[in-house]
Parts: sequence; C-alpha cells; structure tokens
Amino acid sequence: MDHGIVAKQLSRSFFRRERSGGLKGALKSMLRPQVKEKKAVMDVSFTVPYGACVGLIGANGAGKTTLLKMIAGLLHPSSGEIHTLGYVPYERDHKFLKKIGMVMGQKSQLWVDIPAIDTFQLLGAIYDLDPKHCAARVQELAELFGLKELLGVQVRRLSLGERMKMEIVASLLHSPSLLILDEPTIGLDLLAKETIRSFINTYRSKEKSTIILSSHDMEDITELCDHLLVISRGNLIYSGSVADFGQDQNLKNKVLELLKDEESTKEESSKK
Amino acid sequence: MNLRAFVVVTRNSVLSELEYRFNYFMWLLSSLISVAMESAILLLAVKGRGELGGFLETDLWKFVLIGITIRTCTGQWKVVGEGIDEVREGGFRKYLLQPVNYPTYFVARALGDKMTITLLLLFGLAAFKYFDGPGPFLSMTAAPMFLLSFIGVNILTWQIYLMMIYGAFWIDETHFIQIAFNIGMAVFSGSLLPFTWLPEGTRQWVAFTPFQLLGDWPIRSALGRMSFEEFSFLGGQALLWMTIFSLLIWLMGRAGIRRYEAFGG
Repeated sequence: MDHGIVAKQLSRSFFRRERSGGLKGALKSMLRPQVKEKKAVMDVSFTVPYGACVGLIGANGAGKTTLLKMIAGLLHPSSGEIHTLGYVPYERDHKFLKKIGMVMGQKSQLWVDIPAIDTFQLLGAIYDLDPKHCAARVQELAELFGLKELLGVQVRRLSLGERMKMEIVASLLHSPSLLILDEPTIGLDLLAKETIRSFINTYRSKEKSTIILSSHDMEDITELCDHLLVISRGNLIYSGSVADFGQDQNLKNKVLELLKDEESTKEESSKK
Repeated sequence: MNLRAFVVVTRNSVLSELEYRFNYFMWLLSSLISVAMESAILLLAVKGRGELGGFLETDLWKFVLIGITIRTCTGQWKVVGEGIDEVREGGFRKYLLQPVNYPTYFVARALGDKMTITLLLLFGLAAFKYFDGPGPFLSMTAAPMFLLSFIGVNILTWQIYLMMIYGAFWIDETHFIQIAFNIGMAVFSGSLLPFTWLPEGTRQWVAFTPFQLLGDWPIRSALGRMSFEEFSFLGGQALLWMTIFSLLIWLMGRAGIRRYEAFGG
C-alpha cells in the first residue's frame, strides 16, 4: 500500500442521553430518557501518503478528534473502511500499536502521582525497548525539550506546557512511524508553542514519520504541515496541499467563513 | 504484556501509594481501629457466656484479625474507582493505544496498590501465630490451605472488579454495583461475622454465589476449622467461578471496547 492512511466513506455516530436542566428535567429523564443520535463524522474519504505531515482543522465539535480516534483505532467506525499503516486500526494488533504514538492535549497517559521518568521506564517496558536504549532516548528527548531537570518531578506538579512536552516525549519513546497529535499546543504560551513546533519539525526530518496534527491554530498548520484536511460538521470540505490552500484566496476565505459560521451557530445554540 | 512491563506497573503502583504516606498511615490506623472495634463488640457479646456460636473468646480474636486481613487485602476500591472513572471520562484510551492487555495491567496495578499492606498484614499474622503458640490457627496444615485460598480469593475479587470496570461501558451509574458488592461482602461472605452464624436457608442460597469463597473459605482455612474435603470442594467451586468470570471478562471486554466512545477530547 502506498498510503499510510486510507479512509473510505468513514462515518461514526454517537448516541447521547439528553435532558433539560434542573430537578424537573432530571425526574423527567429518569422516567422517559431521551436518546439522540449525533453524527460526528459522515462519509469521509481521504488518503495520507507515508511520511507526510497532515494538518486537520475544523471548529469545535466538527469531528476532528473522532476522526483521529478512528485513525488510531480507539473508535470503531459506524460504517466505512479505514486502514492505518496497512492495518485495520480498531483490531488493535500489537504490531500496529507499537508503530503509532498519540498525544491528546486534553488527556494524559502519564501517571500523575509519580515523576515522569517512572512512566517513561514503564513505556520502555511496554514497548519492549532495551533499558539502556530507553534511558538514552529519554535523555535525548528531554535534552531537546529542555526537560532534563524536570524528569524527577511529580507530573501533577508540572505546568501545562511542561506536562504537554512530557506527553510528547512519552509518545515518541518507541519512535512511532505514525504520530497523531490532537491539539498539542492548546492553552500554551507562544514560547512553548514555538518549542513544540520546532521539535516536531526536527523530529519529522530525522525520523521520516507520518504526522497528523489537529489544531485550532492556523500557524501550527502552516509551519508544520504539507497536506491539509478541513472538516466541518462531520464532512470533509477540503483535502489538498497547504500551499494550494494558502494560494487560493477564494477557497481560503470560503473555508474560514464556513468554520466561523459553524462556531457562531454553536455558540448561539449553547446560549439558548 | 510482557513480564518486565507487569513488574514496572506493579512498582509504579507501589510508588504512587508511597507518595501519600499520611493517607497510608491513617488508612492503616483505621484498619487497626476496625480490628479493635470489631473485637470489642464480639468479645462483649461472648463475655460471661464462654462461647458464642461455636467460637471461644480467643477464637473470636483470631476470626476478627483474619477477617480484617482478607477484607483489607482484597478491597480494591481505589483502583476500581479509577478504572470506572477512566471508562466514563475517556482516560481508558491510554490502554487501547498501548500494546497492553488491560486485565493484566489491572492485576499489576491492584497487586502494587495492596503490596505493602498485604505484606504487613501477613507478617502480622505470622507474628500473631508465633506468640499464640501451637494450635489449629495457622497450623502446619491450615497455613498452606490459607495461603492457597488467599491467592484464590484475590484472583476472584480481581475478576469481579474487572467486570465492574467493564460494566461502565454500558451503565452510567456503575458505582452502585460497587456498593451492592460491598454490602454482599459484609453480609454474606463470612468475613465480618462468621459464615456459620448465617441462617441455614441463607447459607444454602449463598452457596450458589461466590460470596462464601470470598471470606469464609480462607478464614475458616486459617482458623483450622475446615476439613481438607470441604477445602477442596470450595477450591473446585472457586476454579469454576474463575472460569466463568474469565469468559465473562473476555466477552465484556470485547463488546465494551467496541462500543467505547472515548469521551472528552
């Protein structure tokens, strides 16, 4: 297969229990619960070549994270097909899992009560890395991120930026062929964002890995990615090169307008 | 999941526990206070009567001690609570992204979480036996029977807790199962009050559940009040439950992960 990721008419729906607020709503929901279907991703098809860096943008709730989760095998699609690195991701073959790494800005894979170095040793064991090689890799990555002094600090005592860098180190210990980054710069200051961007660039040129990056920050995309996927209300509305997207002002305006509309519709409905 | 990873998960679990020394100390103190309180109540009941439901005063002491040991070592509420919350809030995803087998990971976590307290309590039992001198309590035949049933009861409870965690894939309020199990353990397992004190009808009904195995089996083994035949019969029952639970865990894990929604970003 020439492509690292192949998605064909991929869809995923969720069923959510909904109720109106307050005691009355709670009692009503106990007697007659209302379940609504939410189509998070609808008939999405695209391919990602090996070694590419792909940006994924869309408004909040557009379906970006759901798409990334299907690529990583965390979610089973409701319909359609997905192949990641030649595997059906949700079958969770251990050979496949050893080839991917995922960082989710909102969720941690580190043990919060103990220093990150202890989690790194655990990950080294899980991915069957030679202990000496693992220790050297931790030092190398910690050096790149300026984290050497913090390896022995309890994770819960780290700042958001420091924790995010530790999360990235944890995902890279086993040198994954596919790195999935879901909003890795969320909530970070400019300096921390820049460090992460420059690190991803260095890592990509060194390891030749495929990278998928979702972000709300257009700068992340333009600085790092060569391909772009734009998702709106579960539909893929652009799939092409970042350069083409940047040059076609009409397309760019149209897409940005659409994302803006979606965001404001969501804000209005949440106010109601 | 390889052995090295299993050992490191267990080690990290112990390290996490040690980060909270004061919590740990207070928890240990509360366990000791429970022993004292439970003993005081039972000894007060036996006072002046010589014996209570087939237990002499000295037997009741040993019963309370071994009952607390079993309940403390098999109670995994912290690890189970974390597991349930991980399923409910999306943190469970980390186990799906790594080449690990969740049940094995869970056992390593649970083992580490109770490692120090288990060693401490088992050491305490050995010390108690040393000062108690010869007798049926933890005798040369009772001690191996106790250790075997102690391992068995731990495996069974790990399996039950795992099913509770997997239950969270379907049921939002899965914590109620934890509470129901806790009530069942207190009333029917024979670890809070001797199993033989339950009415005959209740005992017959409980025999169709694994509760007797979770308390009475190791406790009476340790007290030297169980014949080898009965011990083997209950051991056979334990193996049967382990097989049933393993199958259920496999089915629930497969179906649950399929419907997993990995909420929250």
